[in-house]
Amino acid sequence: MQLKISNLSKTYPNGVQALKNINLTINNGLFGLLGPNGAGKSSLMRTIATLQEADSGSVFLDDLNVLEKKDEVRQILGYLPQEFGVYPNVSAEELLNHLAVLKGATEKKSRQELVHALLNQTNLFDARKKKLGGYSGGMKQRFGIAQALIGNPKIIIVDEPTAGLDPTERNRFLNLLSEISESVIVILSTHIVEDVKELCSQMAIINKGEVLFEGHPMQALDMVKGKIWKKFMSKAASKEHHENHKVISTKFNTGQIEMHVWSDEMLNGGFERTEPQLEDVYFSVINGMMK
Amino acid sequence: MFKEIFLFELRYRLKRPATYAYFIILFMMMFLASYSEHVNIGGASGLVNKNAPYSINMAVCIMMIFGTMICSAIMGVPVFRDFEHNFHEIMFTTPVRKWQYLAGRFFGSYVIAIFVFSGLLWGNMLGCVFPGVNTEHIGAFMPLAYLQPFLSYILPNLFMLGILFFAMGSLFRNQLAIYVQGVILFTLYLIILNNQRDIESNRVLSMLDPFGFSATTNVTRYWTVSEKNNMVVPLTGLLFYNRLLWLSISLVFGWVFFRSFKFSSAANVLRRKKTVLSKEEIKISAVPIPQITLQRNIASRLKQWWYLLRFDFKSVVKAIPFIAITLCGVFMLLSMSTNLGSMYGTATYPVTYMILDLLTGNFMLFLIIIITFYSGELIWKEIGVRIAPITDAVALPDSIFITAKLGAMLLVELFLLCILVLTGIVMQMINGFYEFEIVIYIKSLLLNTFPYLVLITLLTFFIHSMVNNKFLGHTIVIIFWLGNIILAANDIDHNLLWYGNSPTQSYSAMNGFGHFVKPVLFFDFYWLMLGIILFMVGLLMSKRGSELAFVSRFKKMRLLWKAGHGKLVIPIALTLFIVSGGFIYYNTNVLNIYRAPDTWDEITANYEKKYKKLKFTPQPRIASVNVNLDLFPEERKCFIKAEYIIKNKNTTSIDSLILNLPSDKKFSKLVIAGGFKSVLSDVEQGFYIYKLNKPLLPGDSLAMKFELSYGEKGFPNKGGSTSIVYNGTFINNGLLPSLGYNEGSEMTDDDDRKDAGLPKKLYRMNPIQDTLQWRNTYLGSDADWIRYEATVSTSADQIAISPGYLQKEWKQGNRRYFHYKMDSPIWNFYSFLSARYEVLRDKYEDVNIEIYYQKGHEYDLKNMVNGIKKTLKYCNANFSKYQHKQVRIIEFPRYASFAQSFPNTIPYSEGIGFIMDVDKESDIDMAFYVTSHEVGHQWWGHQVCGANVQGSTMMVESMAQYTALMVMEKEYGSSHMEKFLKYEMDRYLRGRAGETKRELPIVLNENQQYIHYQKGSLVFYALKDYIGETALNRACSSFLKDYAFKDAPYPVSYDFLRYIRKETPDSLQSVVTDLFENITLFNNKTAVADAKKKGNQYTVTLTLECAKVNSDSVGNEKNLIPNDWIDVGVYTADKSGKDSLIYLEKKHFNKASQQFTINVAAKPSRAGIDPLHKLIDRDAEDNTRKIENL
Repeated sequence: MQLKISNLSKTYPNGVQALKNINLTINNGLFGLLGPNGAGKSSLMRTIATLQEADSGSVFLDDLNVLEKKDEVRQILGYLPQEFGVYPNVSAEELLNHLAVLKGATEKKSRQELVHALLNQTNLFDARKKKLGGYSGGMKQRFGIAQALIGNPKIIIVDEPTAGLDPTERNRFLNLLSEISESVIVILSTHIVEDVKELCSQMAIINKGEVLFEGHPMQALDMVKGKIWKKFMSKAASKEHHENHKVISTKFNTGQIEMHVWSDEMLNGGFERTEPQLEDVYFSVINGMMK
Repeated sequence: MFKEIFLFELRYRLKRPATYAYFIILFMMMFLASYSEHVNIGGASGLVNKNAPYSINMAVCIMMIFGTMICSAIMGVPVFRDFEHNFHEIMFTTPVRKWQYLAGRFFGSYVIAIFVFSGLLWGNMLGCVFPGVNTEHIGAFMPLAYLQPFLSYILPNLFMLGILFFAMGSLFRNQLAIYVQGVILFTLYLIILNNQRDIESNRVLSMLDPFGFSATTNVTRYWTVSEKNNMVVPLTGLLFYNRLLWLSISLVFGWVFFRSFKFSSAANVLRRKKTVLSKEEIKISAVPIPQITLQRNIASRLKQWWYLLRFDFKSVVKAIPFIAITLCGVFMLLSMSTNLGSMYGTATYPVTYMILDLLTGNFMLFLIIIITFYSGELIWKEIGVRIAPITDAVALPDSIFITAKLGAMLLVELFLLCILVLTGIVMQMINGFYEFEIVIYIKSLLLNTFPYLVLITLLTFFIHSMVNNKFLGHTIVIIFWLGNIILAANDIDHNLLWYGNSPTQSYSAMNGFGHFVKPVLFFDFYWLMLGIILFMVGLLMSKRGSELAFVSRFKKMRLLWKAGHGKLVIPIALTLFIVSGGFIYYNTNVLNIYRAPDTWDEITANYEKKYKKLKFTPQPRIASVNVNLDLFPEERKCFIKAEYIIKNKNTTSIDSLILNLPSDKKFSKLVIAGGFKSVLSDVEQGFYIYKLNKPLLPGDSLAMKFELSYGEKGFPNKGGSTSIVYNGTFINNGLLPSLGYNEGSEMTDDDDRKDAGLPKKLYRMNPIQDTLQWRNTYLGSDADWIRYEATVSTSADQIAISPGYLQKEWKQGNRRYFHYKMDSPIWNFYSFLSARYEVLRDKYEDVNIEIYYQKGHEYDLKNMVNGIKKTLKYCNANFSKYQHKQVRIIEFPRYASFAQSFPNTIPYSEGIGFIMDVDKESDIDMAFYVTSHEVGHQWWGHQVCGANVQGSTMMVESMAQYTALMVMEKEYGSSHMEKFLKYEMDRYLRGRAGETKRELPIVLNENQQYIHYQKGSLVFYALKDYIGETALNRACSSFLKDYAFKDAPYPVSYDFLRYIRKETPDSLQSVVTDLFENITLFNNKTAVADAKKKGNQYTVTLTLECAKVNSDSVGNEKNLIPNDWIDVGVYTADKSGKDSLIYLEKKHFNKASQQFTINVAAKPSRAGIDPLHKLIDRDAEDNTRKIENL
């Protein structure tokens, strides 16, 4: 299967242009959509998930026109929104059952098996009788993925699923996704570079509604190879460096500021060339070093 | 810190739009009430000014009650808000003290609440000076009139409610709980008000009412126009103690709350704490996710629909507010079951239709609140809990989602109606009534209530589908309903124009649902089609996806419409809507005549404008009536073929006849002996003038034959005439023509007259000096005594009745004929009744007694028969001989609730008297009383009737009342009389307090019911007490002897008074003047009551106060020096503490305060002045006093 997004644009009534002429091609496997908050990730994902209209452009899933044949898309869609709530007085099992019915699992016995399997998969089986109102953030997130998997979807869209998860949960969650993604398209949006680095076979970086990079993570690293320089310094010194260099990122590391800068040429003055991380790619792209 | 928190709260609130919204709501309500003639809140009416202290007082008091919700919304949230925004953790860790925090928040909100509710006063003030206001109803500006309600209600009520809501809001911390507590309090309040009908429990309940409303009405219930306009309701006595009691209670409550409020983040939670699950071990599970095929076929869709419906249904009926509001309603209904359909304290049997009236009347508000609220909530449910992004992305069409919600709401409605039926049955069981008519419950609720609820649901769904904000939706729904109700009640009242309206209808045991069913179904169908269209539009606009903006959804709707969605349902519904609307219009406006209320006013006014000049045109008088009336109850038709003999009793000859028919009626045939020419034919007015070919000379008579047909074609806009019905027809001589200009058809309301450009009506009846009118009785100006004969035919299974004696009865085809003939002259006042009757026959001496009743209504027949016999006996012995050989009581459906006396024929509504549950020991026997009153009319009304002037009803209504009193006293004893007179006193005093024009002495009363009935009872009973029953009856019988069956001039009240005065000793002549010719009120009081024991004797020393005033027509009082003989009485108590009189004697009072010493043989318990309340006294409680010092 292949999802092909062409020239997709969207401007909200308040004038914010959320998507600017987006072009992406996504194949089976885990696709990472990387971008800062407000980059347009969620807008893009909601559009694919049939929840939002586009102003122009097209989205095709093989031959299926996603923007027009919403009902057919929904039949093969699993969607985990960035934020969602639950009926507070309903248990996980009941709500999963509820959503399974809505998705068309009207045969009681097979539905029950499905619900139990999903609860097991997401490690919620023991807590299945508890009201969702009392779930922790991580448990709720796991519930979210459980519901997205109902009915063997061909395309799964998960919007910032790892936010609020602790490291163990996050790992487990990503493993589950990568397992599933062997035969289906999984689009994962995140602003955490690590999520993408480990699992995704394809990725894109978007910012301010535009695709700034599309390709394999390794490809991305190749692009910046040899151009990332690192230096430790005091806080006072960092200001000056900001003026003189193309700073990619700064962060505290063991009490000092670790600064990464972009340079095609050799840098002196305490800078040393460093092996690029995906994070460097991300910040370079976001900050407009790579055009 | 207190100051900072207080000011913060103030500033915060002043920035919130809600604060101003609440202010404007209250302001506008009062503004409209004072500015508009059509809106009335509280007391202003007739002569009471819109800005009278009393009007402002009552309006503020009432608005405070309805403002409970607003108060709850303001006072319930301050602490809750901190918790909701999770600000409490920050707040509680600052150095603020608990008292500073709570007091700051409370008083800040309290000041805002005061500001909001002060809108009531500003609204009234502005309304009264706003350009264009009718200044006739505005008095002088009185600052105290505004200050007093501010101090008496606004400050204390907001404080009390404020503490309650503040505490509850702080403890429950739940938005809904805050609103629900308002509903609960409101319900409790309604329960108190409903139980206040019994006048004896007034004082206690007045204290219990936290709003002070009952205390206020208790204090002001007998206030006259003058007092209402000039006196400020004093914050003393009952009202003061009520305020004090509730302020104390709220302070205690506030203190308890303060002590128990924990100033920490985790505590204070009354609800169950959420259990946060601990994170468990992560283990990789090996269970594979099974492959499953998702179904898309119709069977599966149905399953999904039914599943969703149940899911939504459960979510509503399990919600706490739903349960709370429903229970409130049920509880309120049950609280009413103790005092059902009470008349003079006597209950009626709780038959199903009465219970149904009660259920729907009182529960409707709850139903509408629940349905509008939850219909909205269901639409917003997924968005509200933010699960919409998940459910919206599911492959299930909108139609399934939304029709399931609709289905769930309909199921909720049916569920509520089932609860209603169960409640009704329980109410019947509480009253020991076990004749449950489940079918009537079901039919009535499904026919009347359910369709309306469905329409509300469809509309609410539509509105909520259109808007982007739930609260906006709720607001629009409320505004829509208020507007719909207010506007529908005004100028254009066509049911086709106001969403959900259909003709009102009522169930009758005799006539069932009658002819009402069909039109109601048509209207319901019509509105249902519109409802479906709205629903479909809402469906196309449904909120799916993340873009909720109206514009985007509207775009989507257009796309959907183009794609063919709704292209089947909407056009079909629209076609049916138009077709059914057209069909209804054809029925209401083509087959029947529809006129808006304004048009009717215009027609009424035109009658007077066009034809009043003919008032004095001499006309002949009807001397004989012979009617053939063929009634077709199943078709609701009748044909009249009748002959009048009319006689010229004037001194001049008459050249033309003036005839009146009901509006829009024409003769189908008219033959006047000697021939005639039509001069004027005004069908709209039903007013015709015919020129006689040969003038009718003085003393001559002529025959006039005519034919008329009445019948219902299709159905009219309002439920339609209830006179000719399937079972229980009741029509009278109003269907036949009357002669001459008819003053009774003139417009009476002065405001309407002013609008129509007519002068004010100074008199509601002709002035007593108008001797021209002495030639007429007030029953009509076109006849004296007439000969009467009637042949009535009806369906084979019905009996038809008209005055007279049955001469012959026969069958012809499938019709039944009855020929009645009266053997003695009667007034031109007769009726026709027909129904499937059971007949009870009895006899008293030579008089046949017959009661025609509906099967199943046997409860009170014995009492009625007894009432007839006892009244015949009393009147024959004391007044004169009964003129007929028969008395008949005939039941008619409860479309009207009265009994009326025609010659030997008494139609009697099934709603009064046939289903009374009389406990003979303690209750006033209503069936007996009403029967006795009506039989009394055979003398007072049918032997003698007053002239067409002021005061005449005294000789008819007051005397029928006196007759019933005397017969009742003989039958049930004087203790029943006391109870009855207590009600009469209360109703008289309330009646005069509600007078809209002017109160007159009974001898001049202008057909004012509270005077000729209630004051009549009091006056004649007191007179009987003073001059004795024998003397009074002697006056009555001599009066009858001189005036009964005599031709004009007819007697006026002063004629009758002459006979009374003749029987009154000189010393009591002034009493007669006080009773009949003045409005005299006493304020009698026992100041001191002491007693000493002397041997076997007790000496009672009393200091008694007697104040006497004369009142003018609006209640201005003039003090008089008493010169009266008034009862002084002493009671003794038996072992159970029940008082009985041991001494009662009339003493002369001529000073404001007098001392008396009385010796009695038994231990006195209570003593005082006028203990039996024979004199009219606004404060009866202080007449006697307990003797404490023994």
